[in-house]
Amino acid sequence: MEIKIAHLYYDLMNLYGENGNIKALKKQLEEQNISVKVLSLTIDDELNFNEYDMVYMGAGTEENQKLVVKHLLKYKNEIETTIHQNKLFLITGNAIELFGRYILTTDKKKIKALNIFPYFAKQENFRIADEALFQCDFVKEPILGFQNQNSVMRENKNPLFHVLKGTGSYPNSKKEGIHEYEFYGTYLIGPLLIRNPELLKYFVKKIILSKEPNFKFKNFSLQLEKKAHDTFMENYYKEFIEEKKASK
Amino acid sequence: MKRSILIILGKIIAWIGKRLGRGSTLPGQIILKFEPNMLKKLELPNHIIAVTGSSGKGSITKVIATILRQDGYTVAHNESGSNLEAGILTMLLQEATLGGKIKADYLVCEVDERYTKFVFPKIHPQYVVITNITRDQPPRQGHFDKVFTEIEKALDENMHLILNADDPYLQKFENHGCKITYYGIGKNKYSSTTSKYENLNISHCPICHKKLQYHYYQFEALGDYYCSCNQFQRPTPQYEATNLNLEKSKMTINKKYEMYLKPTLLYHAYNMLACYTLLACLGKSEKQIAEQLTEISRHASKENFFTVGKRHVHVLNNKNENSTTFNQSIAYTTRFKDEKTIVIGWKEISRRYQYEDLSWLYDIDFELLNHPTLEKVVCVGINRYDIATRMKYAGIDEKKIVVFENLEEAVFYLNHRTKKDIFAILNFDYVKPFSKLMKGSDKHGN
Repeated sequence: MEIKIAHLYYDLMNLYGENGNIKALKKQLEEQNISVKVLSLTIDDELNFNEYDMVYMGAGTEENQKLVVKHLLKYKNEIETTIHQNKLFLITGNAIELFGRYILTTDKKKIKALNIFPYFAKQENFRIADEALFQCDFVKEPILGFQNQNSVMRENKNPLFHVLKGTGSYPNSKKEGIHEYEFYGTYLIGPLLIRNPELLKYFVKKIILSKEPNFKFKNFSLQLEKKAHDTFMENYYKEFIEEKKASK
Repeated sequence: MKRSILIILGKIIAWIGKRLGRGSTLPGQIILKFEPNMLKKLELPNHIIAVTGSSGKGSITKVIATILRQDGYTVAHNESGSNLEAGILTMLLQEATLGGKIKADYLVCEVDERYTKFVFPKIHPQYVVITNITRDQPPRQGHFDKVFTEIEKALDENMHLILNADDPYLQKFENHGCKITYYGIGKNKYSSTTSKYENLNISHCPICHKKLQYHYYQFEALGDYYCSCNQFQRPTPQYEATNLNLEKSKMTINKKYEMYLKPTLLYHAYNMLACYTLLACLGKSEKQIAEQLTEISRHASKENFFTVGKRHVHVLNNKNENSTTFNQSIAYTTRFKDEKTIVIGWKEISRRYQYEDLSWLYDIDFELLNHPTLEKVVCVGINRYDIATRMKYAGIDEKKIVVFENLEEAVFYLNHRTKKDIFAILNFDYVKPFSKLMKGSDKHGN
């Protein structure tokens, strides 16, 4: 079995160390003895969504977002079809804005996006730079992350995360991200899968099982990642851990 | 309030502050409350030089001020590194006469990149050095394009810019009608024909958006770039360093003037070249500039290198949340071909704010450390497991990765369990404590 991961716009949507997510997927898949091909793709390349087992894209500058959306719009129908066919997409940072209806800029211009989901993004005159502690339905451990964004997401019906601490899709929102079909989108930036080893395991299993439903998994080796996660929780979310213990 | 009263008030606050041993920018902060345009109300020196950018501001302004003083000029300079409006005003208030005149031939100012738009329109620098715009403190800055936009707002066409020709990103300043003088480093033995870095601030032609191509790379996006559309390429630098030799600590400028370099980091060579270019633009003889820069380098502090017994210890000072400084340090370690132990760590991610963003660890190409000559990598401090995890994904064998909560334990381990030369890649908050512990272990033999 060979797994093909499309790392979309690896050189333009790479603002906050997002390639950590690709490193994580590749290494963990290889440790399951699966050969992995990462396709690093950019605006000079032709895209073929039928070919990929998983699609990843990270955060970019507002300028790069514009370049990228222009290229992506050429593939709108193909992208929509593969999402509806349950292709696995992980989209982080402001890349999620490209899958909504449009981005409303601070000077009131609308940048047309893919219009696959009914939300839209609005650029603000403030930035959201904040620690995030989120919870999702499919992983037990709380999700650690960081938000660093210029815009907010409005009119989203299917969030990915509940906000435990942090900002959410917009100030004072209790929800964050988007989860429909096998499309997982969040504003969280950076190496999300490395900081959250349980989430990494979830995605690795998903990709493999989509190709081979009876696959026998080896134990995952994620000790350092778990220690990093737990130490961070202890150092920065002590109250949260104590609250949780008390409620048990 | 009258100008002279504000100046007296500023001087009194500064005097009290000094007595209490604090408040380095307090006078400026208070005076700005009374008079937001105070910088404009001072009679500034005729020659004003400003240096901004993500890194190098402090060292460049220090060297320029030193050389101008050696030449017999009087110089007002924000030496303390307080580079926001209040810090600059605080320094000027101390230099001002009661009539508001700054009695100096030159004003040499480092200015925080995000405060240029407040400071430049009030002081009107004739020369502006913009060193670089790198990935730096993302929670505070957002990203590099935001910093570019802030600096852009500060520029007017009467300013003469000094820029690095090797950095394609800085060519975004071409459209502002300013006169530009470029410097650069020519192809040398450290140049490579392939890129070693994954996360760059610019990778496509700003005109036609095709992928940029390179005749050679120096570091990150720096090098001899061009686009197949023929509308974008590295400008020919007026001041170019050739024969760069970091082992021998030297480079030659415009094939004529050899100068000595210390510390021997590529970025330092760029900083010295920026100083050289600026001083040449002021009309100084190049021969003299090269001699004076050499003299300054010969007296540069050697604190970053010492020996413990027979072991060499290199201490590299970095800024957390700034991947470029770490990439520079990693590039430095790769020049040494013997077996080595690497130490990476910090006390806290940032002292400016409480955010604990770790994304920037993946902007750094730690992959370059993964080499058979690596004995151990010692990860230390509050984020030791995050650092260790980063090392794992850089491809380093987990058996070579060790973690310690504090420097004392790490130094004990280094002394008892490792044998090779040590390269400590530290945030500045660990530099002094680490050096002290390592040097101490030499004396007491433990």
